[in-house]
Amino acid sequence: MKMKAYLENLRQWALENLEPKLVMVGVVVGFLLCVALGHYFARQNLYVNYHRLHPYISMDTQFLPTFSNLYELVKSRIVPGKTLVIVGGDSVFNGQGQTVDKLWSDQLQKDLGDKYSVVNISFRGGRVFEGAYWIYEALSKEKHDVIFVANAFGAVIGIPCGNTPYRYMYWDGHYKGFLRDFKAREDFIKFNSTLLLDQFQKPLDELYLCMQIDNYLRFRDLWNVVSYRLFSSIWTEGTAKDCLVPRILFEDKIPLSDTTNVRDSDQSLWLNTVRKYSQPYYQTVNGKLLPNHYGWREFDLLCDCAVMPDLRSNTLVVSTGVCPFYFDKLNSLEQERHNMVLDRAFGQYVRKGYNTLIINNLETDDFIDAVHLTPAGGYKVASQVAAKIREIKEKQQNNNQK
Amino acid sequence: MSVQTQNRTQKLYAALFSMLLGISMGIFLNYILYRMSMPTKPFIYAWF
Amino acid sequence: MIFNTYWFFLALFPFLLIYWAVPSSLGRMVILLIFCAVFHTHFAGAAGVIPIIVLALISYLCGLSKNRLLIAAGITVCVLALCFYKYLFFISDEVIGAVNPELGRSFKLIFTSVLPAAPPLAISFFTFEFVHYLYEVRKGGEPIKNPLHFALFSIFFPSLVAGPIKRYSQFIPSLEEAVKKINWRSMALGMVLVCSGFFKKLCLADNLTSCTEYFADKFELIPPIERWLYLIALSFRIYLDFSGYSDIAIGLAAMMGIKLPSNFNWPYLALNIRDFWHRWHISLSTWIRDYVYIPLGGNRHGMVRTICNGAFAFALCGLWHGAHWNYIAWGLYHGIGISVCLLYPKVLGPVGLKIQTFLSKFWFIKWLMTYLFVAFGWLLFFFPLSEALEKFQLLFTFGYPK
Repeated sequence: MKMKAYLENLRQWALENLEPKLVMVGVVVGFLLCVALGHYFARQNLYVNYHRLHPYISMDTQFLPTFSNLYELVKSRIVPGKTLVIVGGDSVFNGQGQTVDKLWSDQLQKDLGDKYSVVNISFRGGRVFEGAYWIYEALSKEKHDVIFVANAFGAVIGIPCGNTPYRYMYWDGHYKGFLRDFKAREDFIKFNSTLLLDQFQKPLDELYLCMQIDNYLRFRDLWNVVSYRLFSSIWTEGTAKDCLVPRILFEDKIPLSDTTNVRDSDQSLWLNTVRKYSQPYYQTVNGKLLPNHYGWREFDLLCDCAVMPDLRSNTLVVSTGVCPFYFDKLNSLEQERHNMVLDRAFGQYVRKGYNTLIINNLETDDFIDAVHLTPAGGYKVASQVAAKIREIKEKQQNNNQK
Repeated sequence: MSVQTQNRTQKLYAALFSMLLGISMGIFLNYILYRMSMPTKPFIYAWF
Repeated sequence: MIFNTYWFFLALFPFLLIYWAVPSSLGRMVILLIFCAVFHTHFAGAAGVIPIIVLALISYLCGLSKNRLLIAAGITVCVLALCFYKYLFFISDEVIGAVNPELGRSFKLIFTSVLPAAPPLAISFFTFEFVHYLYEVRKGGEPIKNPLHFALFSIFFPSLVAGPIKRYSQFIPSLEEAVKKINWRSMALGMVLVCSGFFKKLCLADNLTSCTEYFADKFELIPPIERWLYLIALSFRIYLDFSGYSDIAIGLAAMMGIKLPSNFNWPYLALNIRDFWHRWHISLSTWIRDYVYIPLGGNRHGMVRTICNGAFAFALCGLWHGAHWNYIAWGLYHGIGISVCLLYPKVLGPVGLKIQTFLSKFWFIKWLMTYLFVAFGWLLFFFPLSEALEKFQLLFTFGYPK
């Protein structure tokens, strides 16, 4: 009762003595203070002890790294005299199936040695040239020595301004002026507006507005810092009871999976996934495989507007393939189709000026499911990717000497 | 304390309180912009 | 999404500046009307604005005529419009379809070709306001003669989408007073209320929504104590979401100096169901009381009639929330609850009086009973009947049924 009376008195005092003009001044001051802090933090590296974008610092748990966050992270790995290797791609290159102490990209760093600096900013569920490539493109404005590596499955490539859920990052980079002028990509966006719709089939106006406002106010940069270092404020099933805990305290808990999972995992689900990689590109007519011209025309177009022409010679597209256990379960026509798609797609990459690497010596025990790699599989990939990167570097040096 | 001093102190407290209230609201408004960049849920009664 | 959109923030800021800067009352009203029209068009679409314009015109003209027959016709048109847009599919699927599925399907096909994909935005709210207006004029109240005043009453953006349901006799004088000069105190307090609303919605309600949506289909898998926590989370989810919206609406109006009726008064502190409905969605419950319950006879015609009137009024209240049987069930549930609450001392005689005396000594028991009654009701509100009953049973089941 005393407490209630006290609170009521306090409330009355506050209402009677409120200086409204000072309140409004305070609002402006508080808001502008946040804007200033946002601009400051946008130029700092947010991450501590970084190895990869694990679930607690990525979209899986509603932590959306800003373009600036990743840009500053990658910039912090630039060492004069060393070649920076940016690892992009999807969950395969994110190391799904490998614990953080057995991460393939850390092994890649060891294999490459002192003359290279490796940073892994691949996204689980991302496409080939989403996220990491845009950071690479932004860095290319400053003429750093960079090689970009990403994994791809056959002809799956994604649209140049990003598919859900990572397309926010494209527009973030676009409106903040990080990305370069790339006419082929801009034309693609202009002429394919039907692809740029949200889950309710409405235009992405809110996304564009958000990123445009953020360019000036930098609220996402500020509150990402708060969420990472002080307290989070969003409940997700991943964080659950720890939803208020700052993300810096979360460990990278991606588990090491048993190789027997390959045979125990949901085989029909994975088989359908493997089939989907090649289905759009060839159709079966009278027992023969004929190319789907529409699918290949689209792939050709996307190849042209995914990566800027001058950056392709420093871009390496890697195929880690499908687990032999699953590949053997496909019928002969499906196997043939799978191989034809891989050959044609990677051949197209080479013709467009990309570097490619097809890894085909992985065994069943190198996989945890149809596509993701165990540490052993990751190490095999690391050694081959390292060799290819050195080859690319050597070719560049020879070209420069000429 | 004289009445004048008391009044001045009251006014100072009131000014400080108003300013702090305003600053916290300004900070919160900035946070709202961030929070809206995450997937948010529609208002329930807007369904009706 | 309405208030929690970047479009709204970007549009509101310059509007408020212009509104405050314009020196004349008429100028302020015109600016406000333009913004209300832009707001509604943006969120409802050009086609979605037509119903409110048509119904507003009809209501305005019928009100001006002061002809009882015309006014009754106006009320009928408003009610029919609500039924047309909101309940036709319910009638075809659940009413006709329950008796004759084939006939129900035929009607549904007809309705699909006639109706838009979704009912016009805010139709439940603005039809109720027009009915209120016409009913009061029919009773002898003075109609709104100024078309600008009526237009603002119809389309006032803070309360347009989800209330509070305004009373014109309070709104118009408040509007006239507000546009005369800036009220700094009202502006500051309004902003506090807006912030409070967003805090309730974005920081609390949305997190509770994510949590309850995640556990909704895992209800039988979670420990029994967590099922009760789920129930509490569900009850606070809807309270914080809706009272948050109301705070934002009332706060925005206050920033313009306009007073809207309050909609919530700490409903979960209610000590009986009647008290609860004096604290929850106050503008709707008073509307139902004034325009359904009292015209039906209220409690002036004996106990049986009182119970029937109450049950009907609450069933209608439930149906207003959505065109599904579970909403009607929820409404009836509360109607029965209120009847029991009001009549048990009379019906049970001396025993009833003893219970009443006991409860008045132990307010905690009264409070707990009321809160649990309301919380169980939310299961009916959010889930289909069978699922709601299943969850209710699981609350009292120890262990895991499957």
